[in-house]
Amino acid sequence: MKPKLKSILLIDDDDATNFYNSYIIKKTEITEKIDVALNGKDAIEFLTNKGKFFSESNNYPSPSLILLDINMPVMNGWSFLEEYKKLDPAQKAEIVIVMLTTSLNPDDLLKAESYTDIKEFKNKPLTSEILWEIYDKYFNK
Amino acid sequence: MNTFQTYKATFDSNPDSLLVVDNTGKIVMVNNQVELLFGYKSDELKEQHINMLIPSQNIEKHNEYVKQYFESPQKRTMDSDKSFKIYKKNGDEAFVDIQLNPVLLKENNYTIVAIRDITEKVKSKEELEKAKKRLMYTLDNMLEGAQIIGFDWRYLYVNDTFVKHSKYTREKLQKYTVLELYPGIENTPIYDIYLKCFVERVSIHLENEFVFPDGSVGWFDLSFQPIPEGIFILSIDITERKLAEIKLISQNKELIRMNKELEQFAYITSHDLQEPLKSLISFTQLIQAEFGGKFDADFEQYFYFIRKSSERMKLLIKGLLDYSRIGKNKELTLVNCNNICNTILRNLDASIKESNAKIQINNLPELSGYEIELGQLFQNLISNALKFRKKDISPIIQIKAEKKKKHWLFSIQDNGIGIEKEHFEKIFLIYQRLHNRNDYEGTGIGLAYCKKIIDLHKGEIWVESELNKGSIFYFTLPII
Repeated sequence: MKPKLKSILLIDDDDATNFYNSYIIKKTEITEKIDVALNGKDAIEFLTNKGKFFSESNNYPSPSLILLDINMPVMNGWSFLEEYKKLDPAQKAEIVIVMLTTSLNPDDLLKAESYTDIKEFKNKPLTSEILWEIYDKYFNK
Repeated sequence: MNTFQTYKATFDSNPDSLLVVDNTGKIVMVNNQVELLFGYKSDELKEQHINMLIPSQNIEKHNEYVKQYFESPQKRTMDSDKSFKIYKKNGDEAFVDIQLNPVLLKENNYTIVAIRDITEKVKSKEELEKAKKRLMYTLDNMLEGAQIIGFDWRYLYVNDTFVKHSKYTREKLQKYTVLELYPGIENTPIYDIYLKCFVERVSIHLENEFVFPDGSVGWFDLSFQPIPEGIFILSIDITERKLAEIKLISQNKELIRMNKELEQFAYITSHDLQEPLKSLISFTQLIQAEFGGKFDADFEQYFYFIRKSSERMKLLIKGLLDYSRIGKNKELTLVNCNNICNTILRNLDASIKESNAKIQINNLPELSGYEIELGQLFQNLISNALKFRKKDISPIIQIKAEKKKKHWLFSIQDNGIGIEKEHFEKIFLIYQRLHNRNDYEGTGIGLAYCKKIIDLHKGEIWVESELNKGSIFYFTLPII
């Protein structure tokens, strides 16, 4: 039995996608915990214990893995990455960001490669194979 | 009347200045003209050496000349090409021509010096020379090509720029005629222009595409001007501009074609995508009707997402289809904006009552536009103002129009949630949404739709807003 990840954060505005991804992740039993943010702003608040995720604790959630969508209202994936860059290392530690998107636009792939925080660029739908591939590559060392 | 008086009168009335000088160079006698020309009284000159009237810098040369002259006195006649500079008593300079006439009087050699004031002539000749130089300098150095062609088709004048334009050397241009240098020119339209200018003596301005003997092509802006010697042609090389123009035209055509293709593409795809989607929705309805409640909670949950997603897809595709259809089968009519808005208020009656909204419409104009599209524009903007209201405050919406010089300026003001400045542009792009669907339902097409309608009317649309304070959407419709 491989050791489980601490937590995975899903950032996507679509309820159906979040439901489906949570379902796949649960099936793989790869993580202890799944959190959901509906857009980039939600996600930043979650990572920094602010807004509706307010907590006085200095223990930031710092999930092991983030699955990030591109097109979202309020704050999209690219703006999230810009904000994420500015975060305190304690808030972003140990995070591997995988861009998970329906985008078939090669420009998006090129743009994603310019962000060092993005480790992988995968198309939806999420599968258990994708999850294990990420696990083996980044966590099973 | 005695003879002396007659001679004296003749002497004085001579239009030239006359001096009688003895063989030592001493002035013996002067006439009235001398006084007038030099400004000296005759008493001031008499018994003085002739050098008194010679500019100091020329005295040495003059002495030499005088010496030579007296060795063998010879008549010197006026020579219209030569002029001498003299100074008057007051220092003014003048130009004169001089005649020397040796005479023997009382066994002594005298010389009658006739001095003619040719200052005017010299000055005007100088002016003419200057003007000619200025003109030639200008012609020679112009950025435009300049050429003068004689009636025998020979180049009488060419400047450096024209030499460049001609693609020949100056030597060749001087040696050969236009017809020899550009064989076949007789069969081109430009030949008729030459003839017209040569024969009918008219000025002609045109842009001409010229094929050089080496096959290369150049474009020139040409001005033909008849002149006494033949014709004068001014040429500007506009090849680069023309090439850029041609490129621009072809790019423009390509852009129009691609835009049409894109519109067609959006229309076809959204239309065709509807087919399988309709089946999907029909069958979910069928399953719901026949099997609803017969499966477990997980099934219900999954089924819920299928239904929700397909309904959302239907909305998105419908939006795209409508968007791509804007401006198709359009018809320009006189549109009464008051009537349009009143109809919309009736359609929105339920949501107006539900939100307890107050909508004030100030007298709106009647204008030339696309009625259906303008209706959709108002519908979108008013329903947005209703939708993005603050939770606990009833919406107040004000619709106004103001007549400007060239257009009507409309504004739709609300007291809703407002928009952050950074999103002012983005909201008009298709599928851009600022809010989560759980907070405000929508496809993100509405304002893109409005933008396209306003583009269609060649107007502009923009927003001014402050977060939590409300928004004002402005748009202009040109007065046709």
